[in-house]
Amino acid sequence: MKSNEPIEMKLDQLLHDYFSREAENIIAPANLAETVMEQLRTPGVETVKLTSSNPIQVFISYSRHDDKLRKRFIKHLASLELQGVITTWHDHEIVPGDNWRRETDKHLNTAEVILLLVSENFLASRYAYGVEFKRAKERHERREARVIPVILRSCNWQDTPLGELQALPEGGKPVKDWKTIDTGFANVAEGLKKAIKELPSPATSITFTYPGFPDNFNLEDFKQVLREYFGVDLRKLTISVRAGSVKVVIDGDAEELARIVEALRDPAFRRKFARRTNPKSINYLQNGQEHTIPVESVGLMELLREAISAVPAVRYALGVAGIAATVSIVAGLSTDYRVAFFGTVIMLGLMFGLVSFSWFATNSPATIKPLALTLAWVFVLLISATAFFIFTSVFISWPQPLQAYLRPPPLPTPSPISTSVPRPIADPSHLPSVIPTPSPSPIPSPIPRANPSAIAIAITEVPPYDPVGGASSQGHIAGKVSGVNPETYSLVIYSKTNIWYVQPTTVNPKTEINSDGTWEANIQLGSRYLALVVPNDYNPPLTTSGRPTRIARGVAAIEVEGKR
Amino acid sequence: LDEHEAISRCQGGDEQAFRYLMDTHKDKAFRIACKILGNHGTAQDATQEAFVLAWQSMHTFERGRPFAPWFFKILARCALKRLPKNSMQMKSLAVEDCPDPQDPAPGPEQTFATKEVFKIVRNALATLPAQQRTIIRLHYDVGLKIWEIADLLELPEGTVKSELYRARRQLSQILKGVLD
Repeated sequence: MKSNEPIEMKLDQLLHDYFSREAENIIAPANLAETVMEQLRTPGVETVKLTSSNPIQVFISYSRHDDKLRKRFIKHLASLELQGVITTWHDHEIVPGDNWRRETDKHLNTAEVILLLVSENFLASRYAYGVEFKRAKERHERREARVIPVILRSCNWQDTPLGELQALPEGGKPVKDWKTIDTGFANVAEGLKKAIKELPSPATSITFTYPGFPDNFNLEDFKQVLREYFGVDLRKLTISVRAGSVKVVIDGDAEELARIVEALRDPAFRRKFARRTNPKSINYLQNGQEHTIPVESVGLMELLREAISAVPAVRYALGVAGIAATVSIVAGLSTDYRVAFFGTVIMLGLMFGLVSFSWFATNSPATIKPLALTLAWVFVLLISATAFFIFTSVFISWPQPLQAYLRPPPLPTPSPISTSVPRPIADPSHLPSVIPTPSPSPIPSPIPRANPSAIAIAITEVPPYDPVGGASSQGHIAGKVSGVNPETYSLVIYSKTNIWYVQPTTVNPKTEINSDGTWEANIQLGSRYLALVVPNDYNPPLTTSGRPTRIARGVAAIEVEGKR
Repeated sequence: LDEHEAISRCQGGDEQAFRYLMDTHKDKAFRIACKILGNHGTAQDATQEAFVLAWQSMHTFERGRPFAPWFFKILARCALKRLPKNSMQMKSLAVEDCPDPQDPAPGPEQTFATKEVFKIVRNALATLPAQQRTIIRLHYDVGLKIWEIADLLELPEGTVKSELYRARRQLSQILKGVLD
């Protein structure tokens, strides 16, 4: 058969050629046209003048096994066709050589009414039920077309998705069960006529309202969107400006307007369209009545999806930002809630900026698009850099420990011992007692262990009480330690305002113990003061919300209230 | 004025637009009627009736489609009903009564169009049974679809298809020398 194909094609070509040239010398009599024109003017030969409405396109889906019934049914639709109410299409319209699949899809996707000739054959048909009905149902649900099952014979159609649709003939009584088949089909034709009357008539105009013209409306953008989405002939646009708002009215071909209205009825499309042109309201005129299409706001998830589609790196940047925020929360809570709070706020701010600019990159006018895209990428880099520094600060204290970012800038390091101002010595009888501290950590240390019971620490000069503190509020603290080797042990001093801060500075958090056991320092004032004796290799936390003795590896500690 | 605009205006009742359509298609229409009926007088009647019917049915015509296939279907119906109906054999075409095809003007595109070839084709068509010849002409000349031919000739579609297949097979065999 395949080997015959070229011959068959040649035969087709030859026959077409022959028939097109056959009897070329025969021409119509000269009076033929005139005679016809006279007949047209004869009473009773008037044509039916069509208004702007076009016949409804009806697609007929059926099983080949029901072809005889299909033919009979078509005859019952002939009067509707002759009246110009409908035009029908079924696969017998396909001529040999046509791409039947493409032709069928074309008509299935454009028909306004889809009739399904339902029988056991239809339900068993892989193409009619499996493909055509599926597509028809999608269009029915989107209100693009009306799907009507025409029940030919008794079958189990009610238990299928067909059961959700309003069937014909009346009451879903199969055509075969009527007194005669013709009575059944006549009922279907009548039902179809009613259904067609219920179809919405085409819109006559669509109005988009924009408040605050011209600030919120760019005509060129609007035209571009219409051209992209609908291919609308821009000459049909009329624009009127009234009291601070602009109304753009599209008057056009009924089919074109119907297409636009149908598209705008789809919420997803409407949101996409509204974001590009940002109208306050969309109205269309139909059957002399004005209908409003609501313009919804954009959902968070949809905004996110669009941002990701504009800048795919957004999804990774958001993931990194999320992890960084979590790290800063966890690390911050163990030392300082401010770290957690500000870390989270910064990351959320960056995430918001990233999503916003990415979204603008897709939905903004062409002039702003490059700027939005650039800013989106700047935010991607900012998030990456912030996340990087949070990680290094938390895990390797580089370039600074995380807490240090939230401390006030360190003062110039004061001299550990000031002798210029004579200071009163606290009455030893009022010295507070030594606070026992938790056992030192079991981390092996080359430093010889001190005997805790032999260590004594005292504060001999208590700084003033100042619950506010701050960089400008300075005081002097001094005291004495016994029972430790000053070469292997140091002192860590904390001053408490809202939380405990290491003193005298975060850069220099330790205070030396003199050879005679005395120590002193200039520190920022607080409400309470705490001194800890720690091994030299110990790195104290720079801030803490809990008492430093709970976390510090100190061997002895003392806490006093500021002098009032 | 193009065809689509003319159709649109016809549907609004514009007779002059219909005159334009008629002038465009009347010669081919008359030729087809003549070949079906084999008589100029009856062919003119059939053509006139077809144009009047087309005018009256313009509102059923789907805009955007070509006018010719739709109109020639009406024409074929008008012509066929003028043939005696006592047997299907009589629904054959009276090609023999029509003038021979003109000698084709020479040109590079006319692969098969030589006087000799046309004669061979005409003879080959004459060997077909009347019904097959009718179907071939309605399909290739008038441009009707299978189901439209079946409807016009009141034959089952399957019969039309098989007759068309047999006719093509026979023509392929007869014209093998030309086609090769």
